Amino acid sequence: MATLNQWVTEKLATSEKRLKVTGYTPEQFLLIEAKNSYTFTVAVLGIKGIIQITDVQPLFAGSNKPQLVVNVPSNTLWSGEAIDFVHSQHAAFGTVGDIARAAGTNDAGTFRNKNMDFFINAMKQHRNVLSVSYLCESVFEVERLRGDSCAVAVIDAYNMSAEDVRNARTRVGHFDVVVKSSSYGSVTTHAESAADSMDAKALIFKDLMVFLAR
Amino acid sequence: MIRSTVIAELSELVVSLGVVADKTEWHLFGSVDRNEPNASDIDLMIFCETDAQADMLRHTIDTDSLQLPLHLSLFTFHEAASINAASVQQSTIILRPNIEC
Repeated sequence: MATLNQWVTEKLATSEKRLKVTGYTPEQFLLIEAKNSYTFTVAVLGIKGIIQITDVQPLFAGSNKPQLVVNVPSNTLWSGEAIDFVHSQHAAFGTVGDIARAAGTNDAGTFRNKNMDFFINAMKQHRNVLSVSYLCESVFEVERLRGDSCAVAVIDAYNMSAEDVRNARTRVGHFDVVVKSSSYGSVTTHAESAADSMDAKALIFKDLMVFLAR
Repeated sequence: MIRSTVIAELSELVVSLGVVADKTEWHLFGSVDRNEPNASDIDLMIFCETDAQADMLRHTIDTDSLQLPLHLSLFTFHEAASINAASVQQSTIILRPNIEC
């Protein structure tokens, strides 16, 4: 834990001038102060594989609770259960890069990935959608009024490439639809073919809304 | 300042990758390419010769190893050309390992 905390502290010191690590809680959470003096606590996990609910529950058992939980390495996948638990504790999850973004909210526990939040809200507001829940970090189970439930994977990409689709499958497993988070840019025909080969659809946001209506 | 530091880091990364990165083209874009002082991540596109090379680079590159988080997109040259990716992103070619100019 100490090594990971040191790594994050050094990373912030070299790359993030707006934040300062002022110390550690007895639970070894980082105490972070933003330039406007807003202070919050960050727990650093070092999970490889998939972050499960049992990895995060102990973080909230003590008297000090983290407002943000980050994992190193950043490409580790968060399970839906772990995400739901962190959110239920009025906390947020993310990567080291999200520490500065969380600081910008002045209430780090309310921090949410803007792109994911946009998709969750848009899908929830769809007239043919009953519910939306996290399967894992970037994959949602969408229960529809008409039609079967489907798994929607959201990719953080300007232009979706075939490699994005293959990498999503490797990272998150099954999905019915893969959609890119950025509202501009495009999906390449190679990405569409890669998705087809997995019996999935590669779509932009507008087409996802049409897909959900079926 | 940040731009030159990041390019130096990426150059070291290319060397460490060895033949895996041969004949690729590395495009920097976004806030780091514009040298903005508060850049929060590195937007990088790598154009590859084949799907297999793209997959190998995704597998090999550690996106936490640089000063800022790396936001990596991988395309084949053909795929990138099909959507005019370099022009759309207003990217700058910063590295072309083992491509003869």
